[in-house]
Amino acid sequence: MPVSRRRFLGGGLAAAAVAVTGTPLLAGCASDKKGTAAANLAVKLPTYTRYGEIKPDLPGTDVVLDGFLKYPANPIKAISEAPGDGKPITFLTNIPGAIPPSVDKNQFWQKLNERLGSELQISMASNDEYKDKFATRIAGGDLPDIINIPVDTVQIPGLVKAKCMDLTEQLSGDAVSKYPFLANIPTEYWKGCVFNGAIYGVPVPRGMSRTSLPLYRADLLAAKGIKDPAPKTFQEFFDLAKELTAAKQNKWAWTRVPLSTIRQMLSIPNVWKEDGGKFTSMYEHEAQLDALEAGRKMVAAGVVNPDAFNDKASARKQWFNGGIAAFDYDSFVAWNQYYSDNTAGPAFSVNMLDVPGFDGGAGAPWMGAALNNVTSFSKNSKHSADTLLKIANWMAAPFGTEEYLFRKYGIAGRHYTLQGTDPVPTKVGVVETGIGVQYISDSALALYWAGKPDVPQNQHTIQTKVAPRLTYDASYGLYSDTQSKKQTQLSKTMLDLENQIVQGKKPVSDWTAAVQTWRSSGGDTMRTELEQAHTEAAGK
Amino acid sequence: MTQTIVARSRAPRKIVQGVPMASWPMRVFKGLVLLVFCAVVIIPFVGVISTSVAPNKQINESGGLVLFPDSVNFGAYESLFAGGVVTQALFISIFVTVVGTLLSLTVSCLLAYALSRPGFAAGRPILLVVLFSMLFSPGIIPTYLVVKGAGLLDSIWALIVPTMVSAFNVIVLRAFFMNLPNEITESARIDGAGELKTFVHIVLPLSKAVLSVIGLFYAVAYWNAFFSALLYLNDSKLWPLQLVLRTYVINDTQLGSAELGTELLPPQASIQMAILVVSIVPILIIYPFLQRHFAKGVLTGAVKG
Repeated sequence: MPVSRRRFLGGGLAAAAVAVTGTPLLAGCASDKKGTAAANLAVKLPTYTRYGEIKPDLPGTDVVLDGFLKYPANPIKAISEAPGDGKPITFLTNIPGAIPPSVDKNQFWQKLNERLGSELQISMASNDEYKDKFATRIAGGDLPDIINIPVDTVQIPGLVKAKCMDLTEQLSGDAVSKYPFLANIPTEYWKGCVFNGAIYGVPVPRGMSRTSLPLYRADLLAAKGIKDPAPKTFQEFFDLAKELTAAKQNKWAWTRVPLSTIRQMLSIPNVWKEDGGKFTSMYEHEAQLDALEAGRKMVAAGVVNPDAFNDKASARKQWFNGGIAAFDYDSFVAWNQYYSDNTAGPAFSVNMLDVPGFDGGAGAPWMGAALNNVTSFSKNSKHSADTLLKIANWMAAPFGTEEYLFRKYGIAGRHYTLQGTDPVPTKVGVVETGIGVQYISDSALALYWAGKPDVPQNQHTIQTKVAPRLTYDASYGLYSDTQSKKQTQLSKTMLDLENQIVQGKKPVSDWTAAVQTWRSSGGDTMRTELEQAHTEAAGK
Repeated sequence: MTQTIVARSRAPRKIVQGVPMASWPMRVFKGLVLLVFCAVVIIPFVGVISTSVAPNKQINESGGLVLFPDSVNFGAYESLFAGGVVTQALFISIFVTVVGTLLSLTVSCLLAYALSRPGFAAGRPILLVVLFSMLFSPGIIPTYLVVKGAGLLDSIWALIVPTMVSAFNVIVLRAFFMNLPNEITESARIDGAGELKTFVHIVLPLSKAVLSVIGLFYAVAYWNAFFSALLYLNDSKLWPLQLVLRTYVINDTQLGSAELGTELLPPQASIQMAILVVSIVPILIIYPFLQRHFAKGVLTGAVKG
């Protein structure tokens, strides 16, 4: 099998790091695995103290996000003193967009440095290339003060133990109250920052905002006389898709096969399910064959854009925006992005479907991944943990504060214009603010779209509706060494097969054999490790 | 030169440069085949240029690629060059390409010429070292450590020094130098020229073809390189064009993973296509000037005569 650059970096990182730095970088988790889950559970997580100064128009819960119909008129200045210590702070991160202007040409960055009281030196890479850069710099022993660690990084426990500060003393329990905006991050998110029985980082929370459901072009459906599409079964869902397909006019219902939605209709688990200490993978669920059969039926009926298997996400965006497709499976984040990229004019309207049961009743939607990344601080940093946590605290100031307004939108006049009290980003604003500081830390996201109060209203309605039925990934907060090393490759193999099956290139029956291979290639080991971790944690 | 001959039993056939011309149906057929091949190459290129200047609405409605834009606007190019990031990266790329190519040619020629001289005692072991580097590449992390150890991190020279010598190009140059008639260098020596003078005044002028081709190889490699910049340069101010442009294209895959509200959108197709144009045009401009040397140079070392 050819070894790609990525595989080499992923697989070879541990050996290279040990060889190069002389540190048994990743030995920690291997040698000290037993009992780690219990130790992790023993850690007193930061006490959640909700910041009460901002009153949302649409109050959320621990799951449902707060909604705001407009930006508060007088944003609260929540932090009075600059968090930095006057010395430059280095930060390694991915950035989600195009490369922003460097600090000497970027007024947002300059103002940020001024407000932080320390120069923030950011080393950036695009999302796709970040892992290469991250792995090379770790192996080269060349770590910045603040490190954005993606949650699927191989062997995080060993990495953070060898290279990062233990923040338990500063953050555990009530100690976090010194950093009120870190304390404002719900406890659930901190679980993902605990390794080796200690808190090694600060969360960048996502959760509900990443929950994905079928988005639809409400304006296109309304033009067909469909005001409130709410299919009650898969058959109705399928019929709706057929009604919106007119292949001869270059129009299809779906941008891609909505297999995740079908799986949610069949109550297939969200990655891993735990029942009485036993773990079951989504791949093993008995309804998988039905889901694949249903997906295949949709492709055969021609309701999915025929280029769905070849093109990238940007193509999906174009089809949805251009009205070539009326449905897309994506998150609340994408919902806002569609509005931002609207080329269809003021009529453009997006909404989201709830998931029905396959044969009626209610489906079981999946909760989005809890974290975007964990932010850790290098052990070799010349800054104190307190300084770096103050910076993270500043970055977590929530919606409605003046800090949030600056962090997300920049300087009034240059980076945004006010429409009433709503900041509307300018082109310069979009480019200059995209320097990746949201990955140092962030507040739980808020439902809001400048100048369109119906957007957060619709989002809040659907979130409230699905929240009680959300299914969670049972492996969150539990560490499996095998999962950390093999999950990416194994899930890609399953995804490839899934694509071939729904396209009719392979029979549905191939799935069963593939699951057996998945089990013997690491699936069973993952299960054993997760069950062990769960048992240890539960026994504590 | 064209001449006509008379065949015994058939109509006369034209002979062009010694090759008899095909009958007209065959010529039409060949023309059609060539036309199809040209179309296969040209149409996507036209599509790229057209999409880069087409309005967004039309691109979305057509699903991504436009052949005939409703209207022409250069908004994509304006936004590419507006922030100053692309312009700056363009200068960095030009510097790296020009300086890198000159340095690479100098070092490679000196090495190849030395290796081509009979009687050079250390020639064989050095040649083996050069060949060895073709078989086993050092890998990303060891190279990173060497660059770091040499103090080149966050320096523009990190884009040039580590890739300055290509073993393949050295071998091609060496083969060319070896094929030069010995009589020429010997007569220079008789006239009193030393090795350096022979090399500069006799060998190099005779090697224009191979120097053009190897120069093009180096230039294209420097122009297209992005990965070393990604690894070695933390300050994005020093990033070359290709890496900057890649962030526009690569982040395209991340729809759905960006944040609420203020994060960047995946780029519009027009910007992506403008990027393609910007990144290939400079090389396209150079290419015709070197083309006349290309066939001869590229065969160097492939055929021993």
